[in-house]
Amino acid sequence: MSTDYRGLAADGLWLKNPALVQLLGLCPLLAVSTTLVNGTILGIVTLFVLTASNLLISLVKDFLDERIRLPLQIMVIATFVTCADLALQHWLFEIHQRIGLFVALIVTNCTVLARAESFASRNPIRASVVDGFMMGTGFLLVIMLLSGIREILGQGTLFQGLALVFDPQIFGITDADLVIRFNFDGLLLVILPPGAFLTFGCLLAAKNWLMQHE
Amino acid sequence: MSSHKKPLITFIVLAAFCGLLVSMSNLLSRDRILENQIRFAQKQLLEIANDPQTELLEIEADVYQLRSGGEITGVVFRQSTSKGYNGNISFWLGVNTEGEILGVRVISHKETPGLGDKIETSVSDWIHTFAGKSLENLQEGDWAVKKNGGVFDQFSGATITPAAVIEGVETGLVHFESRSSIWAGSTEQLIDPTTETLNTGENNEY
Repeated sequence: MSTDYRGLAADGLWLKNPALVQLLGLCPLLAVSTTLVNGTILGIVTLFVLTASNLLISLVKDFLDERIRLPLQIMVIATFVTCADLALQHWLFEIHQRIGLFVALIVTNCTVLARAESFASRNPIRASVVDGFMMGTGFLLVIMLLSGIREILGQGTLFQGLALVFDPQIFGITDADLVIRFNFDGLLLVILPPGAFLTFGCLLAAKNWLMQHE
Repeated sequence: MSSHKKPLITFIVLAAFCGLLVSMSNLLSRDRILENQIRFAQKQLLEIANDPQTELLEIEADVYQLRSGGEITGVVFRQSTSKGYNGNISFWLGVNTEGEILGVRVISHKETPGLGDKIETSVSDWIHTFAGKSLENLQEGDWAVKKNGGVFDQFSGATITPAAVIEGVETGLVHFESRSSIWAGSTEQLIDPTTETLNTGENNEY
């Protein structure tokens, strides 16, 4: 039986989107989505961890005994999170200074464990990698959308902190060159934790409305 | 029997592989991360010194002397406060030879984004209002936000965070005024900066 890769993509990006439909991994989604740059970086790291852990779990799935499957999955996930954390400190130190706490917490993002447990430990390697990548991309898109909306409405800026991504000694750009500033101070509530829930609730409503009218 | 052995072998092999991955990444990134940490600290310190020619000399853990042409122009030290909204706020506090603040830079904090994070230079200019202030040119009651009768601006919607930083800075100044030996002692023995000043730092132990 050939694997339905288009189905996997549709599931990850829309039909079973981890954030918008399964409502998994909401802690980092809501906590880090204060600026687009922070949200995007966390989304990319999550995408990497999901794909890598799905790959490794799928590789060893025939040897995973039911009694030790969960601890082993957590171990694999924690390994990739640690590697990603170190990589972030290596290449994007100042970004890590801002979101480092939540990078470590990706271990507890239920999306990652859910995909390892419900998909990667039962499916062939290639399908598992595609599934991890698509679910990760689905999460990344939602966190980008949410953090973009919150940054614009809450702070009246976009791309704040983008200069931190580039090495100042090579590129010589500062935030002043990159940040788009809108002509208002922003609604404080949107940046605060309740604002995260409210904005996310609006996104959910929009998604449900779209699905009903498809 | 073999049904018990199989999971154990999987466990050992996978754990070994994961351990290998983590130690490899640690090995590959360790030096660069350490370098990043130092560079990040130095960047903040030089911002405080406001002069790229300044040399930095660590005389004890988290205490740096700023020197220009061999002469001490100031001291920067690490200070922290737990009076913030959420957890510790730690920052560098730079003072010149007259006891005036050269600058303050937040190293780490967990204050509310969009509210308390105005203490960061990337978000707001607020932290720059400390420059030039000293225990002499401000009264004791002035070390507070305007709402509480002081001279510092509060943030709209947040007074706890700025109040904590202000108090932390004042405490830092008082603390280091009483330890003026750090300056005086090392000014006299400026012969070989690297070794001599390191020794002054350790003198406390004897």
